[in-house]
Amino acid sequence: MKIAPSVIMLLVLAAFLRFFPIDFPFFTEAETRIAVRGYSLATTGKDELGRNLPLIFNSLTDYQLPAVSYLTSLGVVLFGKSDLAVRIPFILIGLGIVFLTYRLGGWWAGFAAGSSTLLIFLSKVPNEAIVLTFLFTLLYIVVSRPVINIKIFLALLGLLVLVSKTAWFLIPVFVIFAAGKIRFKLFLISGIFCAAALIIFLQIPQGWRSLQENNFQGFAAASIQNGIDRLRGQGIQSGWPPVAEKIFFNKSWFLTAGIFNWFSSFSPGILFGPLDNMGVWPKAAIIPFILGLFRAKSLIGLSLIMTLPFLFTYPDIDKSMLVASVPFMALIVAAGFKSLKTFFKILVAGALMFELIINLLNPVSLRPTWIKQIAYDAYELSLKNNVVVSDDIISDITPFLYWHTPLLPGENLKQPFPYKIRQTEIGDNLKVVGWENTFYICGADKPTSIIASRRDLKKIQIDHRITYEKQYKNDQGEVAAFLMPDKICVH
Amino acid sequence: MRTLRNKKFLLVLLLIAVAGFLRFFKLGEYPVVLNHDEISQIYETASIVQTGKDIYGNFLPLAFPSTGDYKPGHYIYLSTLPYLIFGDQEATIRVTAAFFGTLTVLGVFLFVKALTQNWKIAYLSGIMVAFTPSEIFYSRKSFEGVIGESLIFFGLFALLKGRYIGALLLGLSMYVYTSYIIVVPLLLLFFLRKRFLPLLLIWLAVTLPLVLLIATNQDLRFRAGSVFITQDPNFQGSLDYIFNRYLNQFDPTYLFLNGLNLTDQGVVGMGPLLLLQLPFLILGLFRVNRLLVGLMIVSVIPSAVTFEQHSPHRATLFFAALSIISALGLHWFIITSRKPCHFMAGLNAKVITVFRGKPGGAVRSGFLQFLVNFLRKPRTFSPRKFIRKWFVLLPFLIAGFLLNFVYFVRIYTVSYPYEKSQSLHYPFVEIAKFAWLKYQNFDGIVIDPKFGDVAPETAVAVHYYLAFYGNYPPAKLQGQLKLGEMSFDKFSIRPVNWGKDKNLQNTLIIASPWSIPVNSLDKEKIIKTFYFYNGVPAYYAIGL
Repeated sequence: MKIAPSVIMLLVLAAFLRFFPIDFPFFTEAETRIAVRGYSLATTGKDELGRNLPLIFNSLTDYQLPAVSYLTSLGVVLFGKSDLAVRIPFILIGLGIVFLTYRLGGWWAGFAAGSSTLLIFLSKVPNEAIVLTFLFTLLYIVVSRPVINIKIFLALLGLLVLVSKTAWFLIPVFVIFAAGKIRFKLFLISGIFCAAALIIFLQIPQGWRSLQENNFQGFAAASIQNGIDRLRGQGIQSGWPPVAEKIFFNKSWFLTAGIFNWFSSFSPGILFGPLDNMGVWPKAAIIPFILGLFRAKSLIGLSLIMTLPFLFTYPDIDKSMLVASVPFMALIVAAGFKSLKTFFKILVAGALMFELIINLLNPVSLRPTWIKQIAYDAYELSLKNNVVVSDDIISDITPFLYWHTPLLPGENLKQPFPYKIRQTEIGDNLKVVGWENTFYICGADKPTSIIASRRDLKKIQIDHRITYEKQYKNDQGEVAAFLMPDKICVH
Repeated sequence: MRTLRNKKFLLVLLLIAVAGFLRFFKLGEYPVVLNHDEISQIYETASIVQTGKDIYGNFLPLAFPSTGDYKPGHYIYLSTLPYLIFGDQEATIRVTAAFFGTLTVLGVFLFVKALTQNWKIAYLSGIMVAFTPSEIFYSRKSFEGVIGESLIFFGLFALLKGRYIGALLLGLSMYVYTSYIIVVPLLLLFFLRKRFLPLLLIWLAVTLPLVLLIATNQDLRFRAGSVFITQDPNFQGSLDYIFNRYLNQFDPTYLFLNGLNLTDQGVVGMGPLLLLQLPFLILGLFRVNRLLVGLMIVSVIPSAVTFEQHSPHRATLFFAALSIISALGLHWFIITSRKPCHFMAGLNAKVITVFRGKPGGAVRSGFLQFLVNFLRKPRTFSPRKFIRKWFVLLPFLIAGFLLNFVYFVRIYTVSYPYEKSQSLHYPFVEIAKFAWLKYQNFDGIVIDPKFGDVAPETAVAVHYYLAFYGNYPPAKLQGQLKLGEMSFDKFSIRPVNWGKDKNLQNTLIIASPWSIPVNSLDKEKIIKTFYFYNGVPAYYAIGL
């Protein structure tokens, strides 16, 4: 296949934007957990909880499907234990999306995908959304062809259902939209795949709960139910007929809230928001996007479909899930670019690149870079002493303690599929402690080094007049943790 | 022809009558009490009418120090006429806004008519604006933005017609409402053509004194400065921050579910626009012309550059623009819905044309194609059947709109006072009346301004409530009012220090549970309890 120089230029540009700056962004708790898991799978064949090549993994709050973890382990196998090794498979997938978008809508579509801040951002961290996006774009190409290669179609379905639970609810609808006409066979096959994945998943203990809490939480939003009850009560107290109150305030508010949650994911504030708050594009892209909306109206539907899961997740908008719609929105942006005269095309594209590079040079990151120092110190101290670290310094400190130190994960689970797991035994001398632990002045016991959160500092200082030796500040300059002197022991 | 004209004229009259009804009906009763802005405005109006001075003795001030917020004086001066007609009634202060709010509907009708040359679109726009919650809400409180908005629509109409008065009206709107100082010049950029040059020069001449006034009068600048985005603690001089704030104004949840801030129940609330306007707004966005786009993107700026995430009262013009666009969408829907098959096919053909013969040729709308096929399926397609179908749809549409509107009325009249009792300063009317009732029985009356339903805040207009509900002559107040620890006559408005104040003699203390230890008080000393609208105790009157 001959590739035009303009395409090579596009891919080089996209690669540059994905590799530069190479250490940005710092991994969050969830991403670090995937990195740790990938490393563990690559080196021992077991996940971070000690299970042999499992199909279901655990994050702190939910089950996770296998594709992303094994993909991460591939990076670690090839490039060793480093942030870059973890990033590389996802950067390649990101570049793949740019290429596929180019194939769909031409150079400007590729450019729009290549310069999408959200796509760049998620191409640099281990996550499900980017893999999902790649596979859905590929599926679109396969399904929208007049003759469908059923083997590729089946392979894609197989991969998709192993990436994210979200895919199970999206694939059949997507297939109908992408096919351009009703193809019952495709719909049926994709439906069977998704139903099978769902049924298997529900066999796992707490599988249903996992779906309720992480994929359909909108139907249990207490704030909506409270609002309905409260306002209805006010009406009845004021003499409005109860029937009218029922008409105005009822369960349909859950659906309304869901629909608006879904639509809100497309509000300009989110699409063109700041980098680390996961804006989809730099603000300069507003112009071609708006122009494109007038020229490619039908693509709005397809873009909306990709974010359908937000309908059920009120009040959360997991902005990373917006990325699935980026290739299709890139086609809208491309249509906008095409409608501009050459001078304006260059002007807008230049402004877009300028804004993007400024953002990448001065990233305002909300990510916990400060936790690295705590992980280092905890490890160094654990070489001499027993060390405990408070579990509320950050929502899930365990993966950081593994990823930024030479410690190896490993746990003996009492049950194969725990829903929510909290790891406390990090190494021989390193533990994570929670609210249930208490502190006392060591007598004959071997003292422990404690990196305490505010909660544990308070607990210690209630009974003992001990001050800390060192403070750890977070990226906002607030004190997040304290290193206590070696006088205290932990129950 | 003449009959048709008469019919149209009658229809416009009917529209204005309906708009007027929605704005004037029970004006004194809803909102349930005068809030701190309204009470200060009505008493200042009385003061101006009776003495020519505000309560602090300033002669015909441009900006009223009032409660420390330096209110622009236009609303107060415009309210002098209603005051002379209606006197010391609560509704008096709302009449000006209600009047201009009603006129806005006519202004919108005329503007859209001049813009689109389409009577139906103009009439639908008038209907939309007449029923839009934000328009009704802000027209029923003494809010000067409504006057400015009305002037802008009449001004734009006149400008489109090439009338000189348009420039004057647009200039005036900037005097009336500070936010429009940003909006109007930007709007006029859309009129930068040779034929509008004389009008623009007139506008410039009208505006020049305002520029000089702002440059020389610190009081006028104070108000704008105190609400500007620089007062936002998260703002660190970043343009990006302002732009993000700007884009957030388009959040659909804000626009359609809770932006009017009438409840504290998250999404279960009321937006500035009716929920049912949303689909038509989306349709309308594809039919919108340059000036309407300009109006939409410019009118939202004042709300985006203030210290709050959203300032709906600074965005009334924006909401009106969205209502007009939704009217465009509704009109388009009514026209095209008679031929759904042709409409979908046309749309799809357009989409396919965009990418035909290009690398993106594969891109086309599956969904639209499916709809077209579906609609074409019955080969014996009968337009009549479809028309009949859509005629059935119309009553449903009207019923839906009405239901949505009744929902707004329900939230506005019932839930709003329940939920926003504190921000309405609900207890102070009763407190003022009670204080005057007991005036003869005590040597001194102390009122603690600290009050609150969930958290405490300081009431800044207590002296206005006392003066207004006691029919206290403004001339007398001007002479007696002491600033700092606010006091006049027997009244003292200051924080209560119960440890000290419990020893006062022959004094009526009116204080909230935030200032006095209610549980340890001798219950016999509590002579009255004042409640928030939701039944939570707000103040206790204690006789010493």
